[in-house]
Amino acid sequence: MRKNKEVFKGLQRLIIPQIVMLIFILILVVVLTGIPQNFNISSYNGVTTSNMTFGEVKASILNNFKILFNGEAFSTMIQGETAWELLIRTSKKSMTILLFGTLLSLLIGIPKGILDSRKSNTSGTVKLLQSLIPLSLPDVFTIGLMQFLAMYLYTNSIKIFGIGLLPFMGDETIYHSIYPIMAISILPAAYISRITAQTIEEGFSKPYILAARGKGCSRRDIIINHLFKSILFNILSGFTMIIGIIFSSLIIIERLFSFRGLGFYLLYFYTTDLIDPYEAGVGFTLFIVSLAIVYYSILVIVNVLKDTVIPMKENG
Amino acid sequence: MIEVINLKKEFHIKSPVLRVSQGSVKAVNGVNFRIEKGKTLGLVGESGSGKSTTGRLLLRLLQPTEGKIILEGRDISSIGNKEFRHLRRDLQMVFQNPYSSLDSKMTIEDILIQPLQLHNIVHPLQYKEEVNRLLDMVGLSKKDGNKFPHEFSGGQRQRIGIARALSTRPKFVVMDEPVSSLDVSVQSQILNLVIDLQEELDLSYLFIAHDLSVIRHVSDYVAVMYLGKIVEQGKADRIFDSPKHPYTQALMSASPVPDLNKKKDRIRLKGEIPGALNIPTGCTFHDRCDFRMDICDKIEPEATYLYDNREISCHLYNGEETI
Amino acid sequence: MDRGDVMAILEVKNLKTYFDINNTLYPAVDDISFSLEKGETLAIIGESGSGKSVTALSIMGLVNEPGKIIQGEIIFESKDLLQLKERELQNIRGNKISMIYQDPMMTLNPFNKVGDQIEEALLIHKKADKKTSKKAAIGLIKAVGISEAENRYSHFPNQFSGGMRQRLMIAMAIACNPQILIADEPTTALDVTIQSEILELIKDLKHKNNMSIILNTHDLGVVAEMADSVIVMYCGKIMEKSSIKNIFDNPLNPYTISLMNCIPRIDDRKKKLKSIEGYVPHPTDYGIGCRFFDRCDKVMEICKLEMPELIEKNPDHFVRCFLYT
Repeated sequence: MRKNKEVFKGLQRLIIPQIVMLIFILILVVVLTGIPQNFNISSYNGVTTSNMTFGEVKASILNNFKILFNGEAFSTMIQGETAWELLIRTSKKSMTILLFGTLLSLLIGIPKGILDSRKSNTSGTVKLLQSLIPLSLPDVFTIGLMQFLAMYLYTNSIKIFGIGLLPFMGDETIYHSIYPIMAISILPAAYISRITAQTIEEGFSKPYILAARGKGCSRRDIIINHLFKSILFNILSGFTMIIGIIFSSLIIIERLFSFRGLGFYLLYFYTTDLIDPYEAGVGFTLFIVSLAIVYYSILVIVNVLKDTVIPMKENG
Repeated sequence: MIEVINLKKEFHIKSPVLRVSQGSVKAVNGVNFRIEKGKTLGLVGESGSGKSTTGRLLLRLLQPTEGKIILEGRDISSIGNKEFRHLRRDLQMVFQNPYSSLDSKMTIEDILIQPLQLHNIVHPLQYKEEVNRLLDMVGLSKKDGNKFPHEFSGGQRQRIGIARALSTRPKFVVMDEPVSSLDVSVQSQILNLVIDLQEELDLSYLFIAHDLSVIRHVSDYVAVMYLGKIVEQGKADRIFDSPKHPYTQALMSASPVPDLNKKKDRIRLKGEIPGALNIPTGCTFHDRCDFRMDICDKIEPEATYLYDNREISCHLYNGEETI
Repeated sequence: MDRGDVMAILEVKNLKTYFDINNTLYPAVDDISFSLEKGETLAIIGESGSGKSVTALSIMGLVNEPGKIIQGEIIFESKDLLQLKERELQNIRGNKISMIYQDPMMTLNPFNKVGDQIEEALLIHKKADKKTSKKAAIGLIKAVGISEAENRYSHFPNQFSGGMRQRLMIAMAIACNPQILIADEPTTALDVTIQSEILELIKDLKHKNNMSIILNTHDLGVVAEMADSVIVMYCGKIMEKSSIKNIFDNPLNPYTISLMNCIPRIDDRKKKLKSIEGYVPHPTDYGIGCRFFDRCDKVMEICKLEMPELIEKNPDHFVRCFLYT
């Protein structure tokens, strides 16, 4: 009985700070999105003026909180549907890209990492460049390049084996998700392959791997039987970084490929003139808040998973 | 000169992620001994015996949970940290690992000057001279003062460690496994050095080791520890020539002797040293002892003095008190 | 023991393993030759830098960069191990020649169950299939003296003490009933009472399975207990090689003699230890002469200038020293 109480206290100690942090972040987000879109500060001849009084800005921010809490935000009509319906619809679309993109990045990244870690004749520099180049180029560039390639293939009617012509923009059918999924997986795959290769290289210098080789294990045996848990653990550890990349790529990808998911609408709300500014503001706030909550929850879950599910008991 | 009465140290273990209390470890559980001026007490035991912890408690590197430490008649176990700092010149320690106990970014000179500075041993103008004197005392040369630790071998670094300990002109030095990580051919050099210095400077040593032959060589008195308690202690020659406690006997018989003619009947102990969280009731050794009696798992044996001035904690000797 | 009649199960000829540091080669094992008879326990005595660990790794083919075996033959089952491909070596490792290591805490995978690790040895060498391997693994855990084998099969290494981990390591090593067991300082990291248990276990297994053993150690007491024959190594070279009786009764090389004199004895308190002056030289500082010359109490002029050969001073007693040429 006492043990349970202690475990409960331990969990509290872990989770409560996280929740407090989340609430703080959300408050900041709502404050920021509550500032009216046409708010402007200009400086002329050393005199700084703004086009709204502090009172007006404050009122706008407080209104933002109000509509979120009393549900008005969710029922605001935007282009013919409620904000809530819009949120759900776009989330579903984006989820496909996010989920399959992550899976694809693992599918590409881990084998590439395993291949990379071989002490082959390809110099270390070439391998390093292979993973560093995608990481150092601006996301927009890499993804834009991909779309050019897609456009080229389409306009020249080059069929992809087994699937036919792949559309390079829009979001009507499943086939429209293929390029976005591929695009979103490039950067995370590069990261994952580096992490995998590094884990394997480090692993081979560990004494227990030497002992495993002494048992007659081949390289394949060692990677599968001994290093896989470490690889997964390190990838999960790197997930905070990877998720950040995935979410930021999402916005760029949806915009470039005209795939109308969460990211697309986020940008759209901010930049368009076609929606009433008030509705756009509400939509923007709503979408960002949901995004923040989802992002943060994924992080917490990954961290808990990492520490508890994969037993990492070193010297007991 | 230094006396320890009922010294105890308990560690509380918490689980790594959720910090749930998992029990406590009685690393040192009621230890008594006395070391006279110019003499060496050898503290011997295997892992979990508490011998290293005892050494650190004497130097207040850890706080005792209970018990007294009396240095030259003065109780130092509960005085404040500030006051204790002055005593640190009298109590010094030589550590086991010559590779990690010296700051690799400092020259040997810096390493040796630091204690001189902290305790105002000599006037700053005499630092260099004092450093040379210390280096000479441990068999190193003046030129070594400008080098860094990584330029020396393990044995040489251990000499530097000894020089550092002696720089404050202490009265009492704890040696925590000082030769365990050294090559065999170098061990003997350091052991000889340690013994010579004791004679020269009239030092008292607490010599902690797990190697019985090393202990035999340096110690005047020996205390054998098992799971936080001293099971037998007395004059080194007496204990080694005729060990009486079953654990001491097992320990002696287990030490391999480099002699083809001495075939031993090894005493085989049942089981393994129990984990720190599962210390047996009664006599801590009862579950592995060949001479176990009914009383052994219920009541802890008290320390009794035998006719040859040794102290032993074992129910086999309960009726043999003397003096 | 007349070595001429007994079958040599392993023959090492002129083995040289060097380390490439900054494009210069430094010797770790410098031209050593010995043979291991069937059923024999050969102890290799040496301190740090002696080359005994690298010898063991060379035999197993586990020498990593920057180490390189640059010369030699290691004959096992009529084949030269140094000429075999990696795939063939993998067949032999853990199967016909096994190794146990010094630190059992570091050489068991902390993230895998111990049962799986023992089974791995069986499965890789096809000594059992998935169904029978678990039973065989439990049997091995019992055979090395760990109680409650069925339960402990699914525990992780950190749930065992040091002595038990070493037993598990031994279980892994003997799983396929190897002909040769190489033990690299198997008891150095263990408590004294546990050490004696492990040594007894190794002796028992040796008799049961008729294994030949190469035992690396620096402890002369362990040698006295376990060895049939002895090789004394210093700085990559063999200084003396003979049966255990000859080494203890009549040590010839000054290094061997000094080594025996400088260890403290539990059964006899000497006033002062006859220590060996100086320190083991670093491979970068090796000269052209005998590598022990600056620490030897019997050193002569020639010792600094030339390396003495290993000669057979008495029948089956080899020594490398100018005192005897």
